[in-house]
Amino acid sequence: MPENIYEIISLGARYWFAFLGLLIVWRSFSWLRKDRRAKHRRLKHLPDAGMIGEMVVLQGSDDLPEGTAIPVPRAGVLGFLRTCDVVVPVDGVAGKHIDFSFQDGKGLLLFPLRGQSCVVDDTELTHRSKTKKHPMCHGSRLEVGDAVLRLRLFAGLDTEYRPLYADEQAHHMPFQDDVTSDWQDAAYIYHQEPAPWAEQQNPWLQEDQPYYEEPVQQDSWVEQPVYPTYQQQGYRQPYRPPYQQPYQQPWPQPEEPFEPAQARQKQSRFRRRRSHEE
Amino acid sequence: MKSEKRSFRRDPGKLLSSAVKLFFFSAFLLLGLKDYAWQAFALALAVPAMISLGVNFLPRLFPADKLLLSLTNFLCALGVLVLYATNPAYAYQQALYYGVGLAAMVVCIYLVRLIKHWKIPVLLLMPVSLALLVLPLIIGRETNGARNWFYVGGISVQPSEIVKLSLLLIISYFMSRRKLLPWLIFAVGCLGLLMLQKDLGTALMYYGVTLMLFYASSNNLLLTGVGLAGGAGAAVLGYKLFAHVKRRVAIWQNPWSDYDNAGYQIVQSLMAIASGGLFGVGLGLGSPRTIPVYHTDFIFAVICEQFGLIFGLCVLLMYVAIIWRGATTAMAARTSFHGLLAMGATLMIGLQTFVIIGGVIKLIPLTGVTMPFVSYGGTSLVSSMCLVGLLQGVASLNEDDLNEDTRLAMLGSQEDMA
Amino acid sequence: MKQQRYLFKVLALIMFGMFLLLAVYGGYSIFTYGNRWFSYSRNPRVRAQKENVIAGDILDRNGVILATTVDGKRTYQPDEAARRAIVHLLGDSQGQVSNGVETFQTSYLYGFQTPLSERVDALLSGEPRRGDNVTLTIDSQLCTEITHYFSQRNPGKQGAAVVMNYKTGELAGYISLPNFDPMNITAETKADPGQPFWNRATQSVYPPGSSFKIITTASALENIPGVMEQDILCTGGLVVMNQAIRDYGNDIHNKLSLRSAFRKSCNNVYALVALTLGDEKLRKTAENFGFNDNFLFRDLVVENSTYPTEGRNQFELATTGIGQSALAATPMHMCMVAAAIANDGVMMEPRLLMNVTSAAGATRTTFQSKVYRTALSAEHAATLQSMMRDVVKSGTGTRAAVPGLTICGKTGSAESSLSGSDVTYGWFVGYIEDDALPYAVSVLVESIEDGEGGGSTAAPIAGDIFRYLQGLR
Repeated sequence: MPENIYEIISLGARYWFAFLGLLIVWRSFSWLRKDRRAKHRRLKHLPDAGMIGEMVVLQGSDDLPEGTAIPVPRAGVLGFLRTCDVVVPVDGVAGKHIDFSFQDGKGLLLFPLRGQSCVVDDTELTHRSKTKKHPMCHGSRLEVGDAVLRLRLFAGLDTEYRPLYADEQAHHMPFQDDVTSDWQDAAYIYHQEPAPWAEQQNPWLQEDQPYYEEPVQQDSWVEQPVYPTYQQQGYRQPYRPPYQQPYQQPWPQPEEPFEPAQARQKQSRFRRRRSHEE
Repeated sequence: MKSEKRSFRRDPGKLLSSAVKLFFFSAFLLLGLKDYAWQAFALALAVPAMISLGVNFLPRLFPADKLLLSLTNFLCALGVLVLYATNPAYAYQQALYYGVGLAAMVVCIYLVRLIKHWKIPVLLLMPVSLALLVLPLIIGRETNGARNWFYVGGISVQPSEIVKLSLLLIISYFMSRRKLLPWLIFAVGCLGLLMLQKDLGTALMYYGVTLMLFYASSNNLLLTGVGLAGGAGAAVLGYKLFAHVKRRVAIWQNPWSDYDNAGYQIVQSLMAIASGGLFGVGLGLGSPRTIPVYHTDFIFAVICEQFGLIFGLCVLLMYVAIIWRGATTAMAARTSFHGLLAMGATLMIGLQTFVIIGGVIKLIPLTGVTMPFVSYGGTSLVSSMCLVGLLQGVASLNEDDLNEDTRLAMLGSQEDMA
Repeated sequence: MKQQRYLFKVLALIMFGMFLLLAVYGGYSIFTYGNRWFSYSRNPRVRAQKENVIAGDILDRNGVILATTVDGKRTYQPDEAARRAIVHLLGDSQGQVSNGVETFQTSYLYGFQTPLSERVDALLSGEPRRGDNVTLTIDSQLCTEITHYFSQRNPGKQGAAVVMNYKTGELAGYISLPNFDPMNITAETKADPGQPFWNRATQSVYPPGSSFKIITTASALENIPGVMEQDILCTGGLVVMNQAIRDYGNDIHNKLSLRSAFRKSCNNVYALVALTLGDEKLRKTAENFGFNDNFLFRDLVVENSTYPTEGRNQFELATTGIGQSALAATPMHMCMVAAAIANDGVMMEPRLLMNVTSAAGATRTTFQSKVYRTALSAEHAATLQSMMRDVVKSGTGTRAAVPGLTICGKTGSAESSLSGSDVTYGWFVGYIEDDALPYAVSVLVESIEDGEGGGSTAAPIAGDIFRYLQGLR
């Protein structure tokens, strides 16, 4: 093509290229904005996205009343500072107290920071101790400073298996998240200590009772087997608050007759993830 | 039909990628009109095809970030375009590297998705990277005062471009585990070797990213300040000790005083940018080849000359969008390691762009680093694509996690209803 | 994690800030320096364009063609004296003179600003491309006359002279000596030790000498209340830091007011005034007048003037008050200072371009006057005007007086020892106090003889210029 004609075409085309450049930038930024909104919308329906469970406060302070549930992310820091992932504004808790991270197949590993300590299920941990041997599992109890917290993991997380019976071998629990109604498997699935609210919700699960009741055969001459109680098995009691107040539900009770599924369905498309015990 | 059209209008991915493809189709068509070269017409079809491979096909393999893909593909193809307008021989090479870069990006995405335990790879990477950095000192060639590349089987390799990936992995791994010493030793070793190679731009980049990642993961302002002061002290010391640093700074302060020798590069670059004006001199016109090293360091000056200041600002904004996206990805990451990795890749791209564009427009002294995605050079392009690959890998993991959360939440509500 | 996420946000914002800096700096530097970089004589794009485009004509305000292209060759006025007089203003086609109109207005002259529609028309008609014609505000006849006066009054001397309209800022002309013939550049011209390519009116800075007393007076008027009513003692040898400051001819004036000190150009009094003012206030006034500013005028490139900021002490301050120390200003800038006094304290931006027309004759652009800055208040300017009137009536500048015109001015003799030997520069800055002839003038004569001053070397040339301007009326 003759040079002068090409020159004029090219000079005209530069406005087209500038327009396309601006268009591309405009579309990218409007996409960024749109995506940001979509993400916010999605996360509003998924309050537990990125969380592995909750820390329920058993003993707190005025700032952190008992029964509060603090969501726990996969990894982060526990302390009284607002910048921490799990904020525990209770006396005796340092600004940054514990570094934690969740490890699949093990549980929530705690790494107390230099100079700090905490107690997990009666084991004291400092930054020198081999903390990986003492992961927190569902229902584990954590004492930091004056605060006492209990971990409630969401369903579907793979943690270390804690043997229910003394002679049972520790092994990995296969992943299952939808087996809930098979009573035969109940002991297998709910291998961990029940949480206190479990007592409220499942009245059949009282202390000193086995997981399932055998039918009493009165006219049998054979001696009935006596199942060992929790204490006899050498496991701790399910936790009970040290004071004798009745347990308060952390969430307000609905006043009208409760229609769980439909009512919550209206509130949000996806409700909170199930915890193990719900 | 109508709904299809509407969905097309609403899908931002298709909107963006169609604009990108249209840009390159028309640009290569225009260049083809100049001398009726069949290569230009071939590229007019091949480059949009490559972009649709990158933007529309790759997300079928894994949940990739299409915006990031579109923008990086645009910048890569822009490099091919500008190189074709200046020197077609470079453009064919660059198109090849572009394909290799896409493949490398896919590999990186898979690596980030598949590797769960990074301990062994990271421990392996440390000595390998240091050895790679030592190589150019032994068998390397010197160009533009820096001894930072060597030949392997006819291909020139610049190890500092590869090592920046492992630097990111190593810093993120150890910082997510709250260990300071291993990565500190590694980073100091890298910086020392880069100084020995006289590769100041890359050293500046490494230093900046390391410091920023350290600050983000530790929030230790005191130590960061100490690092910053140390860097500033080292810069002053370098200025006092090395003549070539002094010369660079003098050129930066007043390139016009010695425009025929020392200031020649930057003066030519400024003249090119000024000649472009707002809309440029027109694609295929002007004299971009009078700018020294127009194909690598000064490619931004060529873009500004050909397409104008407005388009140059658009390119800057595209980098800003990439950084925005990268920071969002890093903030959404579920683990500290992945967050640091994504943020590190973002910072690396951003800082490299800042260093080279700042040098070209005389905001900071000129240091020879390449412009990510756009500059000619296989190692540079591939390593930039790998950085985006790491970013994309983290983004896809985030997406997976969010999908899993959604699934579980829906499962919960379904059981409630049952 | 939460904190890390927050810090990621901070880092991203830092990166955005850096990119904003890039965009702002890039945009700013292109908008302010873009034309300078582009019109640089070594720009290969301009050189390439010169082969394809016939450069436009340059005309002066009276329609005299200063430069045109005939058969692809750039030609200037037929008269050699006229060619030589405006060569620094106009520049030459080889780009030997930096930032003349020929190079600085490249974007117009070589048709870089031609709209696309005209390009298409030109293509269809098949005519060769022509650049735009540029009309300047100068009077080329005046430039020739100034050169004539200069070489008559001070034969063989180097120097510069500037004439500008102080109401609009339009330059009526400026010259620089020695000059050369743009049609006949030889190796001899290039090797001349007098550096004929160097534009002394806008590119070289000189110590302003006593002409700086205008600014010292302005500062005194602003900062010392009742300074005009006081009497100040001149002992003839003020000693500051063991160094004496002497007057011209070692005069002793005893007690005198600021007005008569200005008239007699008394160094002792002005050194005292400067010491009373202090460095801070004097510098502020000087900066109001454009010292230490980066001159970014649209039509011409002027070297920046400096008010020294380093190594200040009492002696330096005292000598600054009389225009010595490390003060430096171009004749162009001193002309602007006189123009600011004449224009009631408002300094106009100097302009060279009147309008640009396309080759077909359509007006492309016309240019408007712009205020550069307000240097001082109208009230103080009026006081200074009357003081400058006295200088020409009965002071050091009597040789600039022209019967029938009210001339105001200030002479100056500045000493400098830059190249090893002492050199004295003669200055005259002044203006005509007449609404019909609003012209300000500054004249600089380099390396004058011992015993001479600005009043005997530069003022007569200014007088001649004023007389010529009177004839225009």
